[in-house]
Amino acid sequence: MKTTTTMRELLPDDVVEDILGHLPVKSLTRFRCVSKSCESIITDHTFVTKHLKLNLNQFESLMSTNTNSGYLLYTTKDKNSSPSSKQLCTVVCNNDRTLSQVSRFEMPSFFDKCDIVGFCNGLFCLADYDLSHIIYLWNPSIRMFKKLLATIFTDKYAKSVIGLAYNSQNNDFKILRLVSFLGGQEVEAEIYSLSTDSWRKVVISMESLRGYEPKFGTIADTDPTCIFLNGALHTVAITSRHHFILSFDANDESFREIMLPPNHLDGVPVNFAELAVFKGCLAVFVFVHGRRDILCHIWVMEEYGVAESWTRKYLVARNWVSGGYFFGCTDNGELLIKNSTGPVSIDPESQNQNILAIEDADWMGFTANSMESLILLDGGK
Amino acid sequence: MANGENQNPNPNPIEATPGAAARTITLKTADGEIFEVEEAVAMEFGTVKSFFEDDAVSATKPMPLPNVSGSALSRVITYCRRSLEIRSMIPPATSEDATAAEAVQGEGDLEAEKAAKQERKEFEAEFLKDESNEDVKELILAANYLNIKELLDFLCRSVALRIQNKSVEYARKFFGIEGDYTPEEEAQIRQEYAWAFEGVDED
Repeated sequence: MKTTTTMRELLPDDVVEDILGHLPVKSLTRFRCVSKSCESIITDHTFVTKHLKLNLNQFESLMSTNTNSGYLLYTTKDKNSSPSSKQLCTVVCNNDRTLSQVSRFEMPSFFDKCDIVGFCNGLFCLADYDLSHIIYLWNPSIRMFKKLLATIFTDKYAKSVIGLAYNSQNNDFKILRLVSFLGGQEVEAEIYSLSTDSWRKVVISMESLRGYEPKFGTIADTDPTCIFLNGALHTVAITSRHHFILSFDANDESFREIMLPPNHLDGVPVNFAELAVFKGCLAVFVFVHGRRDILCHIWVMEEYGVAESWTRKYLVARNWVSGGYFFGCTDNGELLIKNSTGPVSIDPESQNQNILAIEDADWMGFTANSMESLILLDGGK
Repeated sequence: MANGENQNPNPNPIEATPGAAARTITLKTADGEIFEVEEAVAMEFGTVKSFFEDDAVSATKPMPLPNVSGSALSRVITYCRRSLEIRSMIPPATSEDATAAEAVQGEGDLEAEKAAKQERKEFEAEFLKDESNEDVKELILAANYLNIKELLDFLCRSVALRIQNKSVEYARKFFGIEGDYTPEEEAQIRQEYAWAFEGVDED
């Protein structure tokens, strides 16, 4: 008889690691206490990456089961807790349109002076709105953050646009920062990579984008939103003679030019225009003052990267007042807006306004996957 | 007699009438039990597969499995048999080259895949229902020794579900690990990550 009692009880290390890989982050954090060897498995970078990939794959395989319509994320000040601080809340959008709470995380108090500028696969990026060189990466599921210091510019009117991207090839997170100046000189660009914990500067010239010099001048300004879609970050770039969508591929760090819809701003008194994702496609939302209402033209790039595929859809939003803020769309194509009624979602087809059953929100976001990961465990605070 | 030439031409490896045209492989467990297993099922075991591929060994000679008990092997065979049945519900083209096949995948294929997924879910939910932790660990060791990736993955996922809400002491006992932090070190971890210790099942 070869089986002994010790063999019956002990599992080999690689099997233990496989089991740990399937555990949620709360369990893994607790099990760091099991033993020193467990702690070193859990905090090891390879394990962290494996766990992230497993969660991503699991989400992908669940996509076809349609148990819900996605997750609404929002921040709110909890008036009941003292001292009152901001909280990040996640609710699941059930198929019957009700919302059920999934999680609530306290935000560190210094996030009060920050804006959420991006989130991706469970990791959030925040930027200090006074000191534009201070950026935070935050993983709420393990309550860890990492403070990053980007280049400081002495021009106090320097405006920073930041985007967070995920490199699926290397399981790395990247940040693109574009700084523009009041004087209209060339935008300064830099890229941060979490795996190397370092920044590098890049120059984005029209010539590098086109392969020839089109004489549009330099990129002098960018729009404040930077959205992540199809493995790339997108923002609107502005030269003296040409506006276009600048895309940044998270895998190979290459920049591309994508045409905006032709004449989309012609003849319209523009309030503001913003990029967002509409039902999985790149879209431009142009908010325009009508005679009584604020109109929203929605241009959708039906085929990614193909300029001819820009199509205009159209909505009239009645219950708006100035001060309405647009936070992007849900997967169903509803606009997330905060207006005088509060946080609402607006369906551009039926033009119904749907009041969101959440307490007041000062920021909203939508994600198809409510992910948690151990990212920052091996490098955060 | 080389294995390859006598492959069962029937794409569905499970015969309605047992022992009819299906070849069997004989396995002998640590506690002396003999199992006659359909070739297709036995080939799910990586260890068995390489044993018969490396050696032009007669399939009738029993292959010894010194690290597996009769009860564990019986459960393993049940799992692999059922798993093969479920996999045969999906038309062959779609299982391998997913990206190309997806483009031409018809309605019928998608329906079959969905039905197979549902079958697998129900089967897996039932399979370990009455097994103790010790039994599950024995199965893991068997699946690991026999090199059955799918079963091992399923068992690991199931164990994770079982222990995810349990205490540190429970996990130590399960894995047979001695805690090696000093009381002070442990107290510090518990304090620093207090949120992770909330809402844990009572031991």
